[in-house]
Amino acid sequence: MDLVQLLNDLTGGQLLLWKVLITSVIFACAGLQVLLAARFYEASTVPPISTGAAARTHRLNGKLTVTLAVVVALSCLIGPAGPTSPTRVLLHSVFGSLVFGLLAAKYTALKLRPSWGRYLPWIGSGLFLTFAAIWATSVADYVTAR
Amino acid sequence: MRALRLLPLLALTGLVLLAAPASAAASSGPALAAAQAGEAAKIIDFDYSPGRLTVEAGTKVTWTNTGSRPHTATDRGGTFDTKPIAPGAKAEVTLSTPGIYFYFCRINPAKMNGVLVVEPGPDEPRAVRVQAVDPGFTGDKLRFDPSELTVAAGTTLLVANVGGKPHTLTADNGAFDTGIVEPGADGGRFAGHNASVTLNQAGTFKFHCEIHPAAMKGTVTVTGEAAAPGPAAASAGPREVDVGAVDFGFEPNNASVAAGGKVKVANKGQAPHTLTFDDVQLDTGSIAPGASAELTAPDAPGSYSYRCTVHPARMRGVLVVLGSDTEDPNAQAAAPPPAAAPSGGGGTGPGAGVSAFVLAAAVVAAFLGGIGISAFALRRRPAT
Repeated sequence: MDLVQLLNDLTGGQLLLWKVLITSVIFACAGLQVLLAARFYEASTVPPISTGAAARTHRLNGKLTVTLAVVVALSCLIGPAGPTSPTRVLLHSVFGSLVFGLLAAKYTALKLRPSWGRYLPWIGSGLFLTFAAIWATSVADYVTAR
Repeated sequence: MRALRLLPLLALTGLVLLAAPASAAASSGPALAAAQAGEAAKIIDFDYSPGRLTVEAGTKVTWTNTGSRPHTATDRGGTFDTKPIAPGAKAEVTLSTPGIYFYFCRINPAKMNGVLVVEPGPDEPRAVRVQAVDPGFTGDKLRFDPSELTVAAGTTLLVANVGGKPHTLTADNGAFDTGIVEPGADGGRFAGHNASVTLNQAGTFKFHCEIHPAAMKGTVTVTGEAAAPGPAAASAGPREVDVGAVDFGFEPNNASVAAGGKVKVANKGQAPHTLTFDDVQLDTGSIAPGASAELTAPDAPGSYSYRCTVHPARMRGVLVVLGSDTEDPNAQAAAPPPAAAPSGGGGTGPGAGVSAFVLAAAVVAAFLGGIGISAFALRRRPAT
């Protein structure tokens, strides 16, 4: 089974367009993640929900974001990519890898090394900034190049 | 010091503001084009919408391809050809000569046919189009369209052969004669030819087709007094054509080759690509980066669309297979025809909606994330 062909068929031949849209959704979800984390760390009073609700939403939104990120990353590795320049592709690859590196660091801090917990806000912020860089080296390039 | 902690928020805002003008520029392009367009028409797989469009001379007609295959809007009489319009792209043609235009898609000539009616503008037209119609490809009857017309002295009659047989437009008294106007090659798979005569002498002239004199007749009334004319040429195709597959497009994506000629495909990209035809069983298979493959072009002249099966949304092209005496539509672009001025293949932009969505998502993300990061940065730590 040709996976790229399958994805193309599913998206009516608009796989790249769907990647652009989903990447933008991921970026927005990543922003929400940081805000929710700030809320349950009690660093912020927005959004006006309880810290427990913020934590639950953060976990749910995180799962959604990571799932979407994995789908997009997979289609990046096997499927079509956008307008290309070596520097953009290189930077996009570096940031794409960094996301999964930071996710690994986050899970390590959460599950294996509780003492790293104090770094979690910075790992989360780093993740968001990396998603921003990924967006800038793919979606922004796609929109401006066409 | 506290101000420095707002740096993440400022940096993110800057990032979005930097991206915003570029995105906005990209999204305003199609909107601007739409605002300038005189008449908009759509191409779908496999038809034109509307099928018959009436415009005033000088109107810019814009075709947007909303299908998933490349298509053309090509005058059967050979005066304009948009060249293949990629899915999502647009092409424009400005028609200055009043008359009826039978046009078609030269990639799908049997399925896709439309009619453009160009009515005279406020100014006296300097040229008027007369179509020579026959059952050849359009399934119509032998006739001139229109067969009765009145023009001012000095007006040029542009006689376009939109059928499948040769025709002439000859005055009964010999005052003017276009000579033989050839039809489109291969029974109409290609655009037909056209010729012109300028009518300087006032009077009423009956005319006919020398080849079909019984069925094709008409009358032109020339009023007032007046001035000079000019027609077109032919070419044979190359035996071999090189097509490069790059990341992510074909170079060139509009090539011509003689029937049965060689198509050499070189993968100059870093991803694997194929060159696979849509309507004929021709496929290079996967070509690794740096490798190349060769295909033999179909024997039947015509325009054939192809794609890369790995990147079908981005990589598309059209190969024109030329017969022994077929005019090369890819070479034609260098010499624009007298009656119409095709302009641009149009941008393959993602559309204002997509640009607006991704920009809005980025603004939301920057806003939410910026507040979150700033909150962490400004957080008061408990005294230790």
